[in-house]
Amino acid sequence: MPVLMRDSTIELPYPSATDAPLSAAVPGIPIEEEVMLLFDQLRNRLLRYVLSLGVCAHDGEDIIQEVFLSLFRHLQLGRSRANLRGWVFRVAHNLALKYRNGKRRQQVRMDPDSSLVEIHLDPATNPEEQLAEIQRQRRLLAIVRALPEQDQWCLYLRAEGLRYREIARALEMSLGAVSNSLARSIARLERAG
Amino acid sequence: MRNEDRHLSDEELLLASDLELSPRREAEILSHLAACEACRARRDKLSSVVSDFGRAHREELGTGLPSVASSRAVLQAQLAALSSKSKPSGWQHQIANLFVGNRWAYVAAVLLIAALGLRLLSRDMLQRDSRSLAAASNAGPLLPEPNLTPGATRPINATQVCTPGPPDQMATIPMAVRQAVFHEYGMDGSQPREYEVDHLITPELGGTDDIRNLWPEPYATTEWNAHVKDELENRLRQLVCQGKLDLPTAQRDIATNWISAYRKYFHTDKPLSDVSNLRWAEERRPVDEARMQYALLTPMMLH
Repeated sequence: MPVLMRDSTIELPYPSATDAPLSAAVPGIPIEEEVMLLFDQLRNRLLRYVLSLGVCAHDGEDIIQEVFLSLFRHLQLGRSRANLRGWVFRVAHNLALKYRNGKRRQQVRMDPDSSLVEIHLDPATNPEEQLAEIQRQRRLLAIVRALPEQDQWCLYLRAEGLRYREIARALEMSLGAVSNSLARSIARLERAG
Repeated sequence: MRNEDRHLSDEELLLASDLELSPRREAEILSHLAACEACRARRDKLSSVVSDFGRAHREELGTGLPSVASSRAVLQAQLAALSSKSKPSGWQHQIANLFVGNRWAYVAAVLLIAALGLRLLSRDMLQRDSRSLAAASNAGPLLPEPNLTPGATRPINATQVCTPGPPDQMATIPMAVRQAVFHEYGMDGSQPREYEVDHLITPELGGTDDIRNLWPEPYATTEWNAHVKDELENRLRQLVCQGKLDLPTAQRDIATNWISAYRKYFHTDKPLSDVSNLRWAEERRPVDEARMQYALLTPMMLH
């Protein structure tokens, strides 16, 4: 009985208006409901991000729980709601590093040869084109893994749809440092493409 | 790169895409982009590179993400517990308001409330103790509480139920979910290895890992234990696959009262306990203990 399954939640890959976190308390809505709303928006993105940082899925689930309990306490104490998504990712990032450094690093990334086995390819393309696409995606992932860690983090967060301001808050960097990091990583990816 | 004749830098194009520049600089960039085809192409290229990487990244990790349902249920339960702890109730506010300006009357009222609270608390503790005692004396719930564990299913039909799937893998219901199940049943002090956190509707009949489908079922404490329920699950699946029972009825019967369902489908008042069942139970126990050991390796989430 496999417990792990593909989540069917539909996600927008990039920031959108409906993604906007609540920047002010909504009258009549309890804090726990606000937290669940953000959980529904962000759980898969946060989980993928912490997995990218090298924690196992089990620890990842525990980290997500801790993140949203911290968010509940944060909102309950009436603390700042500015850039709440950046705040949530910062808590997750710090917890993931703590978990990762607290125990022997576990191999969570799939074997590079098997990682794209289940990739959804366009059935209209022929086998040669499909093979080329698989190889291209493997190249992209391998290049990112060879980047300096902070550049990887910026790229993973952007891939999860965070705005630059949110990435800056999550990683405690300046906006300029985030755009420099991404420009550098994109240039590396372009050379591989 | 503020010179209108020069192309925009990648950094500026990236920041402009998120409206992170000053309104003045943003207007300059928009005007430059309107006139410069090379910069528009560059902007689109930057966006497509990140987008390509994001797709590869999501597909790589997305295939293995655990289901959101259990995680959501655990968080919801923990938030409900935190909210009820932290919020002063309405009557506390009202009593406090009655004594505004009269400190001694207020103190007396607080002492009275504290005394009442202690009395209620001790009664609650007695109830908890009796539940713990019941659990410790192996009189755990034979049947799940309908309000806590009504059962939960995924969309599935009889053909899918009867199609042989991959070999059974080790069920890894996360420790946090197991603890949440024990907690909601008031069994925090129980010995986990004496119970199977079991699916009310087995996954083989379409049940899910949702906490609404899980409850702590005793292994060997009474004649109606987890092994006996497993026999019923096998029997129901067999009947569904032979076309003698429809799947929704099987799901409903096991969720409503599995002991009644056992009596109904085995035509017996007592569990059948032949030699093969006993041998099977003996073989199964170490696997369940291995599952528990695996789960205990994870950090504790609930206290």
